Amino acid sequence: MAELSRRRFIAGTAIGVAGAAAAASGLGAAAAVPQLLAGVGRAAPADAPDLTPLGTDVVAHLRDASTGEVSVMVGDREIVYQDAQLASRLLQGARRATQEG
Amino acid sequence: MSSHREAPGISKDPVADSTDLYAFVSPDHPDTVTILANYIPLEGPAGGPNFYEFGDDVLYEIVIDNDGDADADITYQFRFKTHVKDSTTFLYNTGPIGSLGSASWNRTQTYTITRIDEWGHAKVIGADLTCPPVNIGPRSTPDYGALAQAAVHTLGGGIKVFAGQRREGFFVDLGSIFDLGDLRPFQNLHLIPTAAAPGVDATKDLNVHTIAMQIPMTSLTKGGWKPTDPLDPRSVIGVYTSAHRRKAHIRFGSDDVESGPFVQVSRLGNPLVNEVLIPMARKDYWNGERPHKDSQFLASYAHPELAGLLPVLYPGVFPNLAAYTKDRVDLEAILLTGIPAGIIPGFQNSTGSTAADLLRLNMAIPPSGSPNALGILGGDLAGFPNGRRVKDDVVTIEIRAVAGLTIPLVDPSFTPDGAAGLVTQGLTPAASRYQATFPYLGLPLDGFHNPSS
Repeated sequence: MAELSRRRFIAGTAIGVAGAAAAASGLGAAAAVPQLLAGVGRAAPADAPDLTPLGTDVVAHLRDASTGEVSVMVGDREIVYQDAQLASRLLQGARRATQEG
Repeated sequence: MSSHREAPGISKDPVADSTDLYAFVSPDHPDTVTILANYIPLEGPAGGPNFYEFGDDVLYEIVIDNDGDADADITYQFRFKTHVKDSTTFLYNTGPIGSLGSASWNRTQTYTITRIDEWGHAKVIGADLTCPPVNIGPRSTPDYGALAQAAVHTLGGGIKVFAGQRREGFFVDLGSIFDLGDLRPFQNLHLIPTAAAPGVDATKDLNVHTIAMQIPMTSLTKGGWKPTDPLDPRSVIGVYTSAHRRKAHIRFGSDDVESGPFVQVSRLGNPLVNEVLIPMARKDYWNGERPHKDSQFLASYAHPELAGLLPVLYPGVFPNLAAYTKDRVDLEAILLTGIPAGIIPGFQNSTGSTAADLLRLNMAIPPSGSPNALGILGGDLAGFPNGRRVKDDVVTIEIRAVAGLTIPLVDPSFTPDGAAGLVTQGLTPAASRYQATFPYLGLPLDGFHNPSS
């Protein structure tokens, strides 16, 4: 992985069994994470994503790629939901990581 | 070991590894209960330069059930924070540590205690409480007793707390017992015999980290009731300790990311349960489960592996045990539900029918004037398995129980083998390992005088 995404994008090694994760710092997140998390929350329109920092780290885990089940962890909370578009973007990033690896 | 390194996964995470849990009516303050939750197994006193400490990234809990459902009614949460005064030195201390505020003490730790009630309401009951340093030696910690005493804090509601290093109080012949179940005093009778010998205390020169609380009984019962009648179910509390880590941990070498809810990685109620009763493949899973779900492990209590091994390892010594094929209802009662009324005159420590590994204490049983290390087996109702005191010989008690000595409590037709009442690990710990006042475990050994423990 390129250094720019060191704190901001972690691709799981178990891609074949639907494992991928992303970590985002609330401060100055670079390109990878906004793209990956564009589907989270769905509050903002797709062409104007809400990238307001939370001031804390956000970790996303693709629990089941086949169903698009994603968990998002922030602070001591975890929310699990289905988001096929987000899952697809995570998989896209994960495939890119394995190709670049 | 009681619960030291008892499961493959947690053995690699000592900071979160609960080693012993004690709960007893305080002998010098009999209107209070003392609870000690120990972590970090097998601390050698000379553990520098990065000495043992609690984990800032671990959530430690002491959990109380006071209504018989085996679930949390009162939870005390402990979170630690490490402070470094001078990041340019590698030293833990740059001179003698004469007080908890010493400028020479470079790496300190404080903690916060939060009490959570049965409805989930959280209240911080102690903040920025100071841990003592570890005991290093005469140059660094010349008056360790004063440092340790200064780290005993009194909170509102008459609660006393301490968190820091103490001397290991649990005693066990670790070297022999895991050498195919050898008990040195009886090893002449072992399948692979050698001459009988006295037991060897493997933990006598080690330290541990203790979270200690002394709490008025009326703060532990439902509704502030004062326990006076041993046969009143409200007199009994169930206790366990647990450690938790964040669900997500992403490593960067430093400045790691941790996020998500806390996940339980270690728990402990009764000594030796996960150690001896739970099969290896399920030990870490057991650590991650909450006690009220312990009925899933019932088979390991009903037919413990050790009960089958004893007649094999000691041929001809346990014929009655070997022939006993019924479920071990005695162990299920002692370890999973508590002993109901009507079995031992004037005593019970039942918490109802929910099977759960809880250390159960009948608070209406007063402290014994002459404690017997064999607890209830020795006729002393104030000892294990009615709670657990620091000097209770839980290894011998549980070996005797597994060997069949407690079966007649529930099955009068069974006659225990003579050996069941005689087997022992053959240890009597030195009195210097303990003290008469809170937190009852002795001062930790220092590294200078105990360099090779």
